[in-house]
Amino acid sequence: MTGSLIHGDQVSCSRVGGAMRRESSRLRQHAQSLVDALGDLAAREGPDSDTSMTGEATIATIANSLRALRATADDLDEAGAALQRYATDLAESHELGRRAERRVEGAGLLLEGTRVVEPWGPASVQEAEWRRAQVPEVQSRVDLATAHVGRARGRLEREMTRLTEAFWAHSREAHSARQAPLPPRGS
Amino acid sequence: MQAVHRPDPTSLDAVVGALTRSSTAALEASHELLAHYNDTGDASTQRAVDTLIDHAADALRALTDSLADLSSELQA
Repeated sequence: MTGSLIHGDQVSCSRVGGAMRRESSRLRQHAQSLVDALGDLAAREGPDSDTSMTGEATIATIANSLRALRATADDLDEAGAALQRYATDLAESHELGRRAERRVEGAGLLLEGTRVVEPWGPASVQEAEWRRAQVPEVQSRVDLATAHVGRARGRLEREMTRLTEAFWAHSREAHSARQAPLPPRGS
Repeated sequence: MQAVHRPDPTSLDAVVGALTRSSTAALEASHELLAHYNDTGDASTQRAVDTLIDHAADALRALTDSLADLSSELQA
């Protein structure tokens, strides 16, 4: 899958993105089960919850963890979607790259990195002029492929950076929740 | 005399169970994220993805511990 012009494996990117979204969906289902269980508990305890054994403070502590769980699941889904979009963009870039490489070969030219060059060696004047005339058009094909993947990488990096900060914040919230133990029952 | 309001043990068990299952799911999700190989094809992009995966796994492990603690404290 990896051509010489465009690097990367879209299948592996899509796979990890899919795994993130599957796990996000599972976490959301568990969060909903927790919401239902809390709702049931509140309904059975009735309006006197401030004198109950569970207490508002305890419910609030659980609700904080529930919010962190949902936020983490949401961000995981966003990260997975970003990776899946990138996988699609990368697949398109590979196709553009393959077409550009075929044009390079068809024009009797060479690729040095992302630069289209004329080959060394003897050639007739006519042949050399024909090759030279092809360079701008062939180079534009190569540039199209590299620009396409470059934009996709820029988008993915921005998304990953933003979501990394969000996950870091969720870690801190969860650690804070652990450092603040539940209040005594009935408080 | 005002009646002492006690939580329905069945309802409390359901909350404890939901917390425990959520904790387990968060741990499994963290393992799943770290189990996958991916190749973006570019060093800088790869670092951004790898860093995100590490932080996401950290957040999930922190949630695992937080939810498990809540479950244990409610059972005590």
